[in-house]
Amino acid sequence: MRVSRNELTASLKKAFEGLGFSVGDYQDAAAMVIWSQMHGLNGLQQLQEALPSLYSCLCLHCKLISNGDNHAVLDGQSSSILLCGSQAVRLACALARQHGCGQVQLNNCHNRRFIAQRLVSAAQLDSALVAYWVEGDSGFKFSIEPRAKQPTVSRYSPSPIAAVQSLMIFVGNDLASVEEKFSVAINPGPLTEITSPDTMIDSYNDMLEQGIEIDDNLWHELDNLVARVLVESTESSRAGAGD
Amino acid sequence: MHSPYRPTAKHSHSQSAVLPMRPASQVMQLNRLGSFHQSRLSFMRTLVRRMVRENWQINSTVFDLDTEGYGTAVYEVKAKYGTYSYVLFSHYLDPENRNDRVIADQWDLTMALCEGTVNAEQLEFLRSNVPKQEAGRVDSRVFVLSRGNRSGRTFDYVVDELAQGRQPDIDVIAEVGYLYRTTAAYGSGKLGMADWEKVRTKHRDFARPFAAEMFTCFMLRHFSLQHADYIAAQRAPKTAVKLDDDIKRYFGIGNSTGLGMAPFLINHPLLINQWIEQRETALARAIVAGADGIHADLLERFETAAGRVVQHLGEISTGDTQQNMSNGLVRDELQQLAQWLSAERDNIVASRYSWADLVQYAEQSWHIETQEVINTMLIELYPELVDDLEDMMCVEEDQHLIPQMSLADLQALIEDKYDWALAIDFGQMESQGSFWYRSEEKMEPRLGQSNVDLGMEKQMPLAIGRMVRECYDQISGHIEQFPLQDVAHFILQQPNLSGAICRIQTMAQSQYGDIRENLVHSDVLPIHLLRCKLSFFGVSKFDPRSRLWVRNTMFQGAPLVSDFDKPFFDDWQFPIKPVLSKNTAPSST
Repeated sequence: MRVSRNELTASLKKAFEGLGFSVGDYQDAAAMVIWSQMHGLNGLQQLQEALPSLYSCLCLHCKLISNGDNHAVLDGQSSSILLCGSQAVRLACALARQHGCGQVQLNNCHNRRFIAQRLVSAAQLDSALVAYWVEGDSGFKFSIEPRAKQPTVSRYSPSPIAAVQSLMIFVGNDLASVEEKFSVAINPGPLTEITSPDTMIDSYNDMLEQGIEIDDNLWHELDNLVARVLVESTESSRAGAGD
Repeated sequence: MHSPYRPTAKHSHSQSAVLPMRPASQVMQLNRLGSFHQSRLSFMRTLVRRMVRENWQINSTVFDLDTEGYGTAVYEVKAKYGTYSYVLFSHYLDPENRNDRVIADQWDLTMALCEGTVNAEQLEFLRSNVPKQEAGRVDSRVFVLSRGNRSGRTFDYVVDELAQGRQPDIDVIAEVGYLYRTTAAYGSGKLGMADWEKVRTKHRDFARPFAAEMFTCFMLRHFSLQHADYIAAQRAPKTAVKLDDDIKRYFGIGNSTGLGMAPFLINHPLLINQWIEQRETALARAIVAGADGIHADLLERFETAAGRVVQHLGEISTGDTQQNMSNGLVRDELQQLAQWLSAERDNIVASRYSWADLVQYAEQSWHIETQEVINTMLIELYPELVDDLEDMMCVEEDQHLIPQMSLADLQALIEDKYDWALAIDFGQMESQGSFWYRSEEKMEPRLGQSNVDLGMEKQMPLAIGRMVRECYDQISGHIEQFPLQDVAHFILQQPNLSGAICRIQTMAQSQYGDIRENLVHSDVLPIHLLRCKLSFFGVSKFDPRSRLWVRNTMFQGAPLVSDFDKPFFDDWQFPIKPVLSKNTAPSST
């Protein structure tokens, strides 16, 4: 079936609320999923894969492990980027504002592709950002200019040095200097694929025009999660609507 | 009465570069928002101006109704930038099943506004889904889904009168004001429809907030008038007459609005800020325009407008004691104003009395509702200063957290911008006596009584004042231990406050947007929230049915489709009974 962006956003917010996410978290998480889906990064499929662990998650966020002048290490406590991605990006941005550049290593986290929307959101506040992680035998890098609406996605293979389940975030005032910091810190190996912002824009426009295709089972599952935040209707409760 | 006239010597004002905008502490009080009336910037007004100016062509391409008026109608709408289809299904509805609540599942009419021209296949698809409303699905070619119910008091009466060759009694019509009332107009991507962003970017004719929804209601009005004529002619072809055009203009569309509208205002603070800022800008421009004195012709128009509002309020029929009392008070105070304007016009002009003087007098002497009527009347006087603001009503609801802000700065920001929230004592039981929640019945928002009704643990986060208070208390406790910490590090330890901080930091950069009221107080009056939003829609004749829902009238007094190519004076606000000619011609069809 096809749904609209607004409809899916509303459903996702309530579904994440049903999973126990707090207000800021469910807004961010819904935005991450929608953005990934509409820009051709399979956000809904990732969500479907992530849901089993989200059902049993304790809504844990990042824990600060170490904090230098312009860099920090966080422990994601096996949580999803949907829960801890915002904190990590915000910390990197704050470090960059104070020191000209900021670098955060988030260890022990999952669903890292969802970080894209958080990068885009942070870029709107005049920051340039790069995020990098290793998944399977590939390295992925998302890089975005200040105020840009889409990142460039680069894929590398293979990448020998990144820690398992970690995500690196680099932030600065301009993309060239951020890329430089990235190059010093990480050797991602040979580049195998680039997804340009134009490809993402085409995907976005197409879904805006036609609606977003969603698997019936996932939609049904979201409905069940939404039901968790609804209150049983009684004669007395109808009075609370004006009867 | 105390005269608003103060014949003191005055210094000449020059138009200030910075407009004298009213402070949020005044404007954003809930009872004031609940006293707003429609203005030139209201969405119905701007829509009508656009349709007439651009001479939209609206014609029925399908009018396939049986003799009782049940069947299908399709209208083709040729606007400036595109062609659209308004598709309507008319069904028999047992009066026993007629229900205006969101939870209803049958209606007299159901309709959809679609992009482009509808072909036979799409029409069948719509026929299978539109009558089901929330229980159906449509697609991204549809902008708006809506439904309407007949007025039990007017529809049959009007048809009977027309069938018998008579025009209906205008006093009967005045009691109600419409033939049909709409109980919902869904847009913005609900039920598979086109997203607002698609409408805004692709269809410029409807690229203003709620323009497509308002148009759907306008078309319901258009159909309702044709419907009454049609059924009367079918019933009595030899004797039936058509509704007189002046009477037609006096028919609007009824509307019932409940709590569903309330969360919107809290959850779209940047949009609300934008709307109110434009309205306040319009008011400030009007006041500045009269800073060096007021021309006699403007005073005369203002006096005429006051008389019209007095008549309009006198013609409102509502069973709500409070609303009746309020209407009476406003009428009394406007009559004082009109008498003073009439008696003192020359002195007012000579002394260079200003609108600012009048507004100040009203604020000191008259009720809030009178003050806001006067503000609306002032805005009405200066279309040339105001109408450009109609294109400024859109904004992206994009909130951003500022992670590098120090906690000390955030604490100071809250103290500065949210003093109203910190002044609420949430320790008092009645301060948390209510809670908002979504019912499993169509996710309808409802207001519960704390510790009495089910669902407190699932309440919606609409208590902004309480949210700010909790955030402030956490920051104040934390800052003693970590005085130099920034927001990014704070939310590592308090992640559940990120939403609150994001909103606080975003809204601190705007003037209006947060409603300065404890929305979970035992005595909260949600009806003010509804009325505020409805005033931006442009409705009139508020008829509260409880503190939780209100009936009102849309497009009453507006031009007819057949008026679009005629000279247009945009003065249909505060509609009053038309003065009718005695004779009506029998129907020739």
